[in-house]
Amino acid sequence: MGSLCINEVLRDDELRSILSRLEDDKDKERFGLVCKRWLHLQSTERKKLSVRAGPHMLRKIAARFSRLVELDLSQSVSRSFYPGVTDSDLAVIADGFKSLKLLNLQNCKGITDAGIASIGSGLCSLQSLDLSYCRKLTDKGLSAVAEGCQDLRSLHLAGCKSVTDGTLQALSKNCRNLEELGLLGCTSISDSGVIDLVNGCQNIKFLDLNKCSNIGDNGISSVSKSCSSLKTLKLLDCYKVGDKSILSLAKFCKNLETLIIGGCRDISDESIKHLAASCKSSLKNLRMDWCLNISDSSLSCILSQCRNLEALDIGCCEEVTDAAFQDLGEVELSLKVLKVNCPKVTVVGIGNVLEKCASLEYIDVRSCPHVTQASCEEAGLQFPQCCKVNFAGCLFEPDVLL
Amino acid sequence: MAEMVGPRLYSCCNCRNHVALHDDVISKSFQGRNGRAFLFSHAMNIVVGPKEDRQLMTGLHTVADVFCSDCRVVLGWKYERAYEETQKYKEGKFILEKSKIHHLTKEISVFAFCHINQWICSLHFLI
Repeated sequence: MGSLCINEVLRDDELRSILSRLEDDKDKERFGLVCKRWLHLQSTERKKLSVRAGPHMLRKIAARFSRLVELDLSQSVSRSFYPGVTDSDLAVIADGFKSLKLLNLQNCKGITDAGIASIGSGLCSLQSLDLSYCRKLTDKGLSAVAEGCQDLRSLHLAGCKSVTDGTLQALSKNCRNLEELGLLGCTSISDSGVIDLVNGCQNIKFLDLNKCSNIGDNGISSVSKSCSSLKTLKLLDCYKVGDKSILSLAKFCKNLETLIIGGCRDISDESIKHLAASCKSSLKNLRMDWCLNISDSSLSCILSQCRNLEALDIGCCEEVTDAAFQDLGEVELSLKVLKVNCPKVTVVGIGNVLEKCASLEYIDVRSCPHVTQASCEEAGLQFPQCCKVNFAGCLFEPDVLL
Repeated sequence: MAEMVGPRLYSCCNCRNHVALHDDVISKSFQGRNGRAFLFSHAMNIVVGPKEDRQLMTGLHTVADVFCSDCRVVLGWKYERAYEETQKYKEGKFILEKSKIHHLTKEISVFAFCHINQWICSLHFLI
């Protein structure tokens, strides 16, 4: 009787099929220990990897895991190993991981334009790139990325202070499929850059312009006109953005789910009422803290019409009183997160909120002079079972409104 | 007299924990809760407390109290966010109260001077 060697009979496809049925990561690693052939199959099946490695190790990793789709090299904010990811590491990556679709380089503070230019020329299938806080990058390198990675869907440039309108023009020309763009703290970009951007990139669903203080109504109006599938728009402390932008969003962006307009002080009740009417089924998260002109009339419209609203922040909206929370109709509100640090709100208003919001998970009243633990107990307020109440600012806050 | 070796430091008044570098001073003319205060671009070995919206003399701000990481004494606060455009430059920076911090190297040089002065006086006495 001849002996049958399983390894000779089974073909690669069958072995891959077996490997795919292994659920435990340890088992997958053990699979790779059987023989060199099984090691090759296991290594080339591997889709995602998080690493911290120098150039020599990176070359070995690239040789072994040649079909990697996602690579995470992000570093930590404060302490990092020296020198961290360098431009020559990026050259190795651009050369070795040709199937890469997602690359995370968050906080890799050492990389420069030369490094990401090689990413641009090497990784043409790249769809998602996170360069947050890589502060040395400028328009030069980022334009090279845009020209090389034309299938980019998601690009994060938070804290890249040297980014100007030039990068937005390059994205507009080359990356027509762009859906997500993060520009938090990119203070040099202006309305004209944003207008150019949305001219070419009309599929944008997520746009973060937090702290981009030069952006105003002209820029945002063109965003709403061009990007009708917009779901998330962040405009924290964009103080030049006013009613014109909100009215434009109400008119063109019916799918808007998350809107952050904290610090946009010129926004008034009128435009918010239009927004409430227009996005009543889509709006989930609304942050309008420090909007000093907002009063009870628009707030009650938001609460009574936006039935799917889950998170709301109206901190320091000084005109808001308990009246905003009365007469909200019979239906339950789906609010989970409420930050209501308004000086005129008392336990009466909070009581009205609690009657309507059985799903409340977090309520922030730390700066409410009339709402304290003592005054709530005195009024006999019943908070929902799982609800965390922040009276003094010590609780870990949910980040849905950032 | 005394050679300055190493960076000029500020320390916690209570426990001598190093909390800031002289190189990071931006301004010495700020007003704290109890008198003069300094504005620093960075602080170290400190714990940042919960954020609060407060109306200060210069307008609405989000601030967070700052504590010594060793002894937990309040040293000042951190500006997280500023409403007025003219105040935005303070975002991310620290106020440490003059009464809560010691200028460490100045102390060492004064200490050395007193010692040497004493020694010279005692010599004079002998002669």
